[in-house]
Amino acid sequence: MIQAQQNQRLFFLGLVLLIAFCGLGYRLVDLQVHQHIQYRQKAEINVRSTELLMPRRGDIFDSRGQMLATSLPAKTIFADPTLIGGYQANLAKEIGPLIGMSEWDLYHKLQPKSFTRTNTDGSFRVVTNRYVVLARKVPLERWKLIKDTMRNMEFGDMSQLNRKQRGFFRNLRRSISADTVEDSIRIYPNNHLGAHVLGYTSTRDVAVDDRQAKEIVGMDGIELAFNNRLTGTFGYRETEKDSRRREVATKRLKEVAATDGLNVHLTIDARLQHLVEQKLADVMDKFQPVSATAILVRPQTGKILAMATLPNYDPNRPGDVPKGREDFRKNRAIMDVYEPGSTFKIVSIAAGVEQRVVRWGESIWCEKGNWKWRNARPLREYRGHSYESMTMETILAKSSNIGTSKIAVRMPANTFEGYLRGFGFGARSDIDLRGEAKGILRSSSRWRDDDRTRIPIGQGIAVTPLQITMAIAAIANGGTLMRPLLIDRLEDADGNVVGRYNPTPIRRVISSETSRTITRALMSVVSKKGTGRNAIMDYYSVAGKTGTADKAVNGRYTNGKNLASFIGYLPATNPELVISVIVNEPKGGGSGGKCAAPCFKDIADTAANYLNLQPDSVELDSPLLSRLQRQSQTPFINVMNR
Amino acid sequence: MPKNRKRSAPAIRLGPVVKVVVVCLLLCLAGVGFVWQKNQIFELGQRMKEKEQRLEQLRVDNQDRANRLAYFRSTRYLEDRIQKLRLGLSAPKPEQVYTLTDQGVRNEGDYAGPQYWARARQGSSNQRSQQDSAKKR
Repeated sequence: MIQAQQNQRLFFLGLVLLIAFCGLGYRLVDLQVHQHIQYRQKAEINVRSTELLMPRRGDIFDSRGQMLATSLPAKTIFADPTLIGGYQANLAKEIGPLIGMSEWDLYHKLQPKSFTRTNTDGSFRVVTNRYVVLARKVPLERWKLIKDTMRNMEFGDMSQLNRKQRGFFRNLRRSISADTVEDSIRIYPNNHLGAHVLGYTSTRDVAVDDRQAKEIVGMDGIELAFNNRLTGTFGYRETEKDSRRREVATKRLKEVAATDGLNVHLTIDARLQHLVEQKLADVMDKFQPVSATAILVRPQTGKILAMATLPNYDPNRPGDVPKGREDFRKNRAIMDVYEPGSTFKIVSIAAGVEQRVVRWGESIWCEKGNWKWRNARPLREYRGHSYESMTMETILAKSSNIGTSKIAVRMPANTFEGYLRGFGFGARSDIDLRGEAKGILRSSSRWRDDDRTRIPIGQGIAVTPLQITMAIAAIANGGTLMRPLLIDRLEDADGNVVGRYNPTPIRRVISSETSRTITRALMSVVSKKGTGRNAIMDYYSVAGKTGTADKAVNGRYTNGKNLASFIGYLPATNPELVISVIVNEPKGGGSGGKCAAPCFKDIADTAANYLNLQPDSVELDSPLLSRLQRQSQTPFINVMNR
Repeated sequence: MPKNRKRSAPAIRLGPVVKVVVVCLLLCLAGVGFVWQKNQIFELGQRMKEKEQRLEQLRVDNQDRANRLAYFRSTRYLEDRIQKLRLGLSAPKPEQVYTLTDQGVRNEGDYAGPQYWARARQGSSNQRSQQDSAKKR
C-alpha cells in the first residue's frame, strides 16, 4: 500500500519535473531559435557602436610655407545644473576665469531652471535644464585645466559623509563636462594679416549617418572659395564596447579612415603682405581715408604677392568689428567698383597707340584747357590747367584729360570698347575668390558723346582695383593679360602635390612694341616734371600713373570726396613687380601723387630689396653713386638722367 | 580452491585514473589557456587603443606646436619682440643698402638666401672645373 503511494508520488514528481523541463526546453528553443534575430539585434545594440572619425580641415600657407590658417580640436563645455545643488558660487569662482566668463554670469547660468514643454498629445510636462552650454570651441589644453580644477575642488571634510552624500559630490565634480560631439577651432596665427584674402569660418551641425557632428565651413575668402578642398571626408568605425562603454579595440568590425582636407598654398608672401598692410596703416593714420587698398602682382605670371585692404578685421574673431561697420570684412580689392580716373588713361592711350591713331612724338592740340566735342559737355583739365600742344608722353606726364579724349575719339567706339573688354574690364578676372564684382562697362552702342569723351579719362566706367591692376600688369607684361593667380598648389596631408595652378595667359591685348611705347611714356610720369614725382626710386626706373578721381554722390561729382590712386611697375626696363595703391576719400581731398605715390614708393623700396630685383637706374647726382663708385668698380648698366 | 581474482584486485585501477586525470588536466589547461588567450587579446586591444590615443594626442600636440611656431615666426610678433626687448633691429633703410647691378637675380622666387649663394658657388666651381679641363687639354 505504502509502496503504491510512494510510486504514485514519485510518478507525479517526475511528471512535474518533465513538464517543467519541457517548458524550459520550449523557452530555450523559443529564445534561441524563434526569437534569435530580435535578441541578437538587441544585444548588438548594447555592445556595438559606430564612431564618427573627424577629418581635419586643411591648412593655408603662404608662398614660403608660413602657416596662415590651421585647425585644432576643441570642446564644447556644458553644465548639468541639476547636479550642482547649492554649490553654484563655488563652481563659478573656480571655473569662471577658465572659460572667460564673469563669476556672476556663470553663477546665473548654473542655476537650475524649470520650464514646461508641450507633449505631442497636448499635455504639459515640467522639465529642468540639464544641458547648459557654457563655452564653445574651448581648446583641449584649456579643457584639461577645467577638468583638473573640477577634480581637485575642495568641498570641506568628506570623511564624515554618508554614501548618498558622497554620491552627490561625485556627481557635482561631473556637473561640468565636455560634449562628446567632436569640434574644432580655426586659428589664424597672424591675426589680421591677409584677413580679406583668407576669409573666416563658422561652424555648422551636420548629421552623418544619423550621428551629429560639427563641421567648419568657410564664410569668406579662400576659406569659402576652397571650402570643398579644405574640408575632408568623415570616416567611421564600427566597433564593440564593454560594460563600461570602453571600446574593445580587437572587436572592430569595420573602419573607414577619415580623409583630411587639402592644404592650400597661396602665392601671397606673408612678409610682403605685412609690409603692404603696414604702409597702408601709415596712409590711414596720415590721411584718414575711408579705406586704402594695395595689390602687388608679378606681371609675367599674374601671381598676387600681396592684396590688402584697410580697415580690416581679425579672422579669429570676425564678429569683433565696430557696430554697423560690417564693411570692415569686405575685400574692397575685388568687391568695390570705382571710377578709376586718370590711371585709366594708360589703357585709353595704349589702345590709341595699338590702333596707330597716335604716334610717338606727335603733337596734339589740347585746346587751352576747354574742349567741346560734338554734343558732349565741354571737357576741362584737372584744376583748370590750360595746356596747348602736347605729345603723348606729356599728355600722360601732365595727365591731360583733353589730350587723352582726343586720342580715344579718333577710334571708332566699338573698337575702343573692344580694347577695354580685352584689358578685362566689364568682366570678372576669374580670381579664386568669391564675390568679385564685374565692374560697369556699358556697350558702346549705348555710349553718347559725353561717354566718348569721359570714358577714356576714367569717368562713366567702374572697375575694381584688381581689374585695373591686372590691366596695367598686362602692359608691363608686353601686352599679354594674365589670369590673377592666388593659389600656387594644393597638397594632401602627407605633402604630396595634388593640384598645381599654373600661370594662365588670357589674351594678348596689345603688341609688345605698344607696351614698350606706353612704358616709355609712363616713365615720364614718374619724373621730376610728372605727376608721379613722389614715386621716384633711387635704383629702379618706375613706370606709373597717378589718379585723382572725384567721387559721384547722388549722381553729381563732389569736391573734397575723391579717390587717390597710383599704379606703377618696376624696373620699368624689365618689369618684375606691379603695385597699385588706392586711397578712398583721403581727408582734405589729397591727390594720387600726394597720397598714393609715396606709399607706392615705400612699398616698392622694401619689396624690391626683399625680392632682390635687379636695379636698372640711379640718379646721376645721387650721393650714393659716388660712394659706390669709390667702393666698387662695377658700372651701372643703365644710368638714367631724370 | 582457485583464488578469487575479483576480490583480490585493487579497488581503484591506476591506468583509468591516470587517464581521467590527464584528460581533466588537459581540459582544465585548455580552459585556462582559452581564458588567458582571451584576456591577452583584450589587454592587447586595450594597449592598442592607448597607443592610438597617444598617437592622436601627439598629432594634436604637433598641430598646436606648428600653430605656435607660425605665431612666433609672424612678422608682427617678431617686430613686437624687437621693440619690447629693445634689440634695435629694423629693416634697412634704402640709404643703408648698397645696391649693385652686376649679379642680380631675375628669376621669380629667387631670394638672396643660402640657395642663391649655393648656386652661385656651384656656378663658379663649374666654371673653374671647365677652365681646369680646358687647361689640361
